Amino acid sequence: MEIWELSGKQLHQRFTLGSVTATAIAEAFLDRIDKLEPSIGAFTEVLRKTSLQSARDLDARRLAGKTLGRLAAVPVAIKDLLHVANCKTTCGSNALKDYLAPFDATVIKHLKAEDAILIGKTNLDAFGMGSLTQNSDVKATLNPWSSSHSPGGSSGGSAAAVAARMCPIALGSDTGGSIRQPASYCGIFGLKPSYGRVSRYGMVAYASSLDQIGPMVHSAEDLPLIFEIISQACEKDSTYFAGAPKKYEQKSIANVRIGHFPELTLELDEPSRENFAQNLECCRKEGANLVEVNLKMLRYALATYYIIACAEASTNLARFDAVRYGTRVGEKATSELMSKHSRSCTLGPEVQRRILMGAFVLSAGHKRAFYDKAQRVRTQIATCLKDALATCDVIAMPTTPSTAQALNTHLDPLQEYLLDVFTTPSNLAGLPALNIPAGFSDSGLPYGFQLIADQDRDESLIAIGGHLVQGFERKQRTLSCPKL
Amino acid sequence: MSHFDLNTLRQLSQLACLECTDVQLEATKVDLEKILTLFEQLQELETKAVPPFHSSREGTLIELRDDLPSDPFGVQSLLGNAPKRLGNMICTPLIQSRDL
Repeated sequence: MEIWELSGKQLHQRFTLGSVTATAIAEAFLDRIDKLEPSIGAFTEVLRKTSLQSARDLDARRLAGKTLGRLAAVPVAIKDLLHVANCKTTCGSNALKDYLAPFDATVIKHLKAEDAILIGKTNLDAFGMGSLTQNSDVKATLNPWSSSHSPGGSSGGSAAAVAARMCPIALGSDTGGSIRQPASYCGIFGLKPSYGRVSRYGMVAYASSLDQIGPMVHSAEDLPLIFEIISQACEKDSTYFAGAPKKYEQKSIANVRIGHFPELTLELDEPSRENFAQNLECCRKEGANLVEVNLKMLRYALATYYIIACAEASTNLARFDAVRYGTRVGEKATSELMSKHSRSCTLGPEVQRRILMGAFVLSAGHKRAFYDKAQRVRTQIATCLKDALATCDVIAMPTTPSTAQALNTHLDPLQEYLLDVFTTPSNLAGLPALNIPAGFSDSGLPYGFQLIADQDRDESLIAIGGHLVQGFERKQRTLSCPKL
Repeated sequence: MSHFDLNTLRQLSQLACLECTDVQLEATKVDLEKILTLFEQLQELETKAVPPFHSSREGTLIELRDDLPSDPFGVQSLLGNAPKRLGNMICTPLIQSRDL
């Protein structure tokens, strides 16, 4: 087995046992990136020099018998809207093309404290606004399973890097599905934690009441540890909530109550509906109890999400005025003209569209009909999910309406928003949700299967997901790496 | 009924601090109208008696850290990203035109 095929846990074990050096691990992944990056475009920056230096330091420390962190020698890629001190944070936008992060995000501090090797920054739709990773000003990212398909978005770089085994673990962020949707398209695990469980200090905000940072991995065995590490305390994010210490107690899925709402699958294309039904049946055969729940309110989730997300984006992105942040373009007579000109030149079309829609739903005369209304409907959606979760342990639903989008199919903005139909509800309610790889289509593209749990039941969700995927693997093609 | 006539779009671009020509605004209009049809779905719902969403952790006490002065990054590190600077200051064009 090649080094780059191993999970983070396996890499760490081999390193601590002395069967492979951290330098050999870093070099193996950097070689893999050299080979594949030109055809996939997953990274905005490969941190070659610093990752090799970290690896050499780790080798020296291991030989000296010093204590090593729980991620020692494990390469981790970072979505390029998280600050890594002294590295660029471009957010995939020309507005921040030269921005150098002055500090580490809290999640990065936690990774460094556990001796992870930060291998690179990954591509994204600018500021996390998009579902295909084609809205990046840096480059477009392609799906490792098919170069004519999107990897999903906005964490498409992280998903593609993990799926192509350019790293075993990556961090993404999820505002309306930006971890789970690309994880589904690329056939990997992607976790959006409960709102507040992972600190967002050092993450460039898109929609603050919805954003969450989470892990993306190809092996389920890496999820518990990476989540435990990134969900450690932070005193700089007032929305951070540690809660009581949790354990991964779930031993199997026998008698786990899985809620499902058959009406939801009407949104799917035929092969995806069949795949979802097969996987649900697989859950039943593995011993889970299937429970029908009423999720009728979820048909309003997409509209609610986009009203709130655009409103928050329009205020969050006001800071990119080429005075406080942002790239300044040209000389203008006044600050206002300079800001307008610079913003228009450096913010991409999708970002501008969302800012305009946000300004509209917050403007006098429309705020009550749209923004205020959406906040009330959000309460109803959160209540609907909470009521459903009172009768089951997790809710199962597809992650996406179909497999990965073909890049030669033009989607207008609304059609692209519709790709988030199954992922936005958990963001609105602040609930944890996990994409599990769930087989392949006839054309060889991955399917995803989504589980949603109650607030702060992240550990149970991870454990149930880990057991479920074993059942899926027994029934379908074994999870594997794309042939590259 | 169209919500986005040219005047509304000009006003929105002003609110959004974006410099858009009328041609660009007209081109955006089609997409914005489509997105608005999605938003209008919510009008089907009666929500007068429903409180607006506040937090998914309603009732949770947020503990704030002690408010102690510190200099975590240093002036030079923070100014390093300023689009244009003069010494330790960030430069901007005039706030208002001299013509006013």
